[in-house]
Amino acid sequence: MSTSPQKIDDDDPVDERLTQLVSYLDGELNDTQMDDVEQSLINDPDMRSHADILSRTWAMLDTLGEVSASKNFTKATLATISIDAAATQHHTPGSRFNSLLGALARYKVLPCFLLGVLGATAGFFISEQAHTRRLQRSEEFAAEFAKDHLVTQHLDMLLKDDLYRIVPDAEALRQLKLQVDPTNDGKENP
Amino acid sequence: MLQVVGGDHAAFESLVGRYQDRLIGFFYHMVRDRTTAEDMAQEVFLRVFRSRERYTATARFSTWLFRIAHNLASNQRRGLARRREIPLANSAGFDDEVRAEDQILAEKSALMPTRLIDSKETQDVVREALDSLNERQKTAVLLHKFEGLSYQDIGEIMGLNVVAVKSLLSRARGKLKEALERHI
Repeated sequence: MSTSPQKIDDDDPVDERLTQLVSYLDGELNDTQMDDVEQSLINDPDMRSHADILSRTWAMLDTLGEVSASKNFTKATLATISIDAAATQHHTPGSRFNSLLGALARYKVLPCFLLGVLGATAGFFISEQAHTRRLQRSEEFAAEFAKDHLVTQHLDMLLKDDLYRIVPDAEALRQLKLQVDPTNDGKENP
Repeated sequence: MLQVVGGDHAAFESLVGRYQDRLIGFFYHMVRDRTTAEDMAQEVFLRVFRSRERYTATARFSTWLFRIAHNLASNQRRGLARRREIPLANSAGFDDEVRAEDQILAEKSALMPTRLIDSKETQDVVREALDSLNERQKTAVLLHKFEGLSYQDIGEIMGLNVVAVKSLLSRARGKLKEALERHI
């Protein structure tokens, strides 16, 4: 409900004291306001008399009594509603869809559903990104591994550094008179 | 009401049973015609049933019900004012059915020297006083007096803030005091 001041159609000016007194009689004041009104009632006999008349005239409305429904009111009302409901059902092809929408709105399912879809989409994109990144890392790792594997495979040969020391360069090798291998059919080793 | 929303027809029947007298009483004090009051109450229940799926448990059912009733009464009053088919309680044509307060008092003065008016006469006088209020004042008085609704609830029903309801009821009580104090 709005709390901004609103225009009242009545022409009569509002008497602030009467308003407070009526609110007091109706039990609509807070403790401070109640104390103020009670103080006025103690000190002002006119106000006391005013409050008394207000209470008594208000109580006179009780003489109007209560009104009861006629005997067949409930039955007639339910019958009217049944007929109306049947007619509405018959004439509205999209009634199921409307009732579904109504149910969605009533139980706040729609916002929850939309939030769920959003969350799932975000989750999918995040996991997709993570997966791509993991794949890239695996490929890099595999390449590194392949390099390392090659090194490991030829580690024995690479570790024979004395060979490089003995054979300083190709010219020196050519000058070396290596023994002929008897199984090599007279061909020289390179 | 939540059971009604869920499609429980027995719950709706119990709802009608629980609120029918209150609604009929509200409309009867507004229009002063029993048949019209019952027709209007029936229309309210029909509207409640039609819009049951829009009801949310955040609002008190009685507030929601009387908001529908107030809207119906206002629309009907506007419609009737345009068409001038059936006069409402404080319309000019109603005078035939309800005698003016002074006329009642004059008649009774002649018949009863003690000037004591019985409860029927008091009722007539009070009705006249109630009918002297404008529609908004009358609605606020009926909701507060007979339905025991708070200023806040009345504001929600009538689309007013609490300050406006305070002023409305203050004016209404002032008018009732003026009209009734000589009969106390």
